[in-house]
Amino acid sequence: MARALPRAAPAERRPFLAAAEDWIDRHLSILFPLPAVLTMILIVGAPVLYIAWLGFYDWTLTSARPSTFVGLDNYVNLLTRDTRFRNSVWVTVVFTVISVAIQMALGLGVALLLNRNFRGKEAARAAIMLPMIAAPAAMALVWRVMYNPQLGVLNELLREIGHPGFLWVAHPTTALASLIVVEVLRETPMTIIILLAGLQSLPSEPYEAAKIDGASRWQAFRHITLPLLRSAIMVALIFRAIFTLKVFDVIYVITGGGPSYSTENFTIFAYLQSFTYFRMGYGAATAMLFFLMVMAVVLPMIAWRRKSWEY
Amino acid sequence: MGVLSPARMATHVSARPASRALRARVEDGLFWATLLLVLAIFLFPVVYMAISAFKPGSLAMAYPSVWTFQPSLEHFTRVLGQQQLAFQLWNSLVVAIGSVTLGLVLGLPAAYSIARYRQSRLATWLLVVRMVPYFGALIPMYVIFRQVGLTNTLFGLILSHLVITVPLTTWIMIGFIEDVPRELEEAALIDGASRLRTFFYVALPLVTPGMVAAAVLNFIFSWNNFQMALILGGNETKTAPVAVLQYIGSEAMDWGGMMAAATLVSVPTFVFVLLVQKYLVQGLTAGGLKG
Repeated sequence: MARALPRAAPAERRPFLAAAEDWIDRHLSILFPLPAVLTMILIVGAPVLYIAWLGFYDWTLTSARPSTFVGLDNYVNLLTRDTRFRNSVWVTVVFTVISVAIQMALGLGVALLLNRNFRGKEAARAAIMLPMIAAPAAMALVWRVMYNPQLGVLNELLREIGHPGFLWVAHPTTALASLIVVEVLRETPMTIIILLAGLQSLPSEPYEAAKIDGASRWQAFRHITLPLLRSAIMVALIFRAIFTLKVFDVIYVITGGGPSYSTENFTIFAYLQSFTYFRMGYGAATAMLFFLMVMAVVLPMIAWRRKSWEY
Repeated sequence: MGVLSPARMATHVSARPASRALRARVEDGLFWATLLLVLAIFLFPVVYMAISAFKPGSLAMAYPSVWTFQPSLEHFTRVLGQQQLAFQLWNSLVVAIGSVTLGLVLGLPAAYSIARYRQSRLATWLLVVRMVPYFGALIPMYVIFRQVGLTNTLFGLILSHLVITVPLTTWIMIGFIEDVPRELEEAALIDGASRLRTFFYVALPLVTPGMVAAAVLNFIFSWNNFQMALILGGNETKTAPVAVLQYIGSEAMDWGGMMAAATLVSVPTFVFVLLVQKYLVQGLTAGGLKG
């Protein structure tokens, strides 16, 4: 299997190289991960500390005024006064809860459908991934065009069946729901393939036993499939929740947070603060709160993982 | 279920065969109808995009929509040339290849060490990094990159994309390295090879499929990334996903161009995903799902 191994012939090697190789060998468990760890500290660890520090300052990048220490002012403002911030938290929560709930239910249904044996199932499984794999920004552009209230294809189809159509992302009351539709149709495939992988690893014995005992298909699903699929469902749920909390591309390209802030989620708000208004301190405080919010979801997941697996 | 089951099952398969056959056919019909409906709904935007891109002139904006037409490449040639999409696709390619390569160089040894020395704490931390909203890291990156002149450079973008590619590579490769039988490495060690050599000459050749899977998945994530290039890039380093923004202004007249651009940005990943379909689940849930 492996390529023929170059025989190590210590006597022929120069002692210095041999010593170096020996030294590397003895410290392999530190030397091998070190470059990756240092890179991560440099581009993730240090930045997190930096924004934690920057969050205590009032600093506008574009103004000549030097940054001034303001203590907890940014956080106090965000949490007690900034209604736009509060709105963005609300938008994030609504968007995440509703779209993840739909993604899970729909994902389970489609996974069960694709888990059956039929001709062309490989092709169907590959095709269902395309909306998820396409660049989100490109797909968002397509949705923008399809949502056009006058000429868009969606309203055209609705008019065909006698409905006047919607304003979709052009009106505050329908904008968020329209974005949820985009998110669901773009991201459900991820839930589908996770659950499909889970379904395919299920043992067949319990089903045979259930058949013998005369269980109906619904009973088999309810009492065998669902419990056995629990860990795959959890994984899909957690991953979708974390990624949906962070959604940026699609909202930025389709609505940019409007109309009248109705689709401005946490990331869009933080982005605008930092990179449109250049209020770096305020943006850093926002990013810090966001970081804590996501960690509140991530850390329980990590704890749960550590319990169930060796890593 | 033991030896007794076949006999008991046989008593169950009796009933009226004719009604069973009918029921099976109805069920089959329902299944196909549902499947086609589901595929139609999910794939509609992709198909609509591809079809509209080939519509000649301003036909993409025609109301009511026109579905029969002479396909034309005019929008593709226009966006690639005049609107510089070719250049932006090139930027995306450079950034993706750079960050994938560095991701492998940094991630492979880390994965090997984690798999062989059971460094579960390190593995967990890399997983946390993958979950962290990297938006937080973008503010300091922007501030620092501005000072050292790395904003609006492809190298700066490659560096920022390591946030994605290093943890992902590591997590995908851990699984593949664990599947390499330890006996093979031990045999090499007994023969007098150093651990370093064992890694290069025994482990690496055996995990080549894993490296390909990791490279392709990382490529997709890097290629599709929008936020980093939006913040850290500039006019000369605009990547293809960010370039779609410049079409929003032309929304009133140029749907053909918009759809052609969207198609060109998505097609490379479509090709790749078909190559690594098998590993996609592992890649997307790296660290979450075992095996």
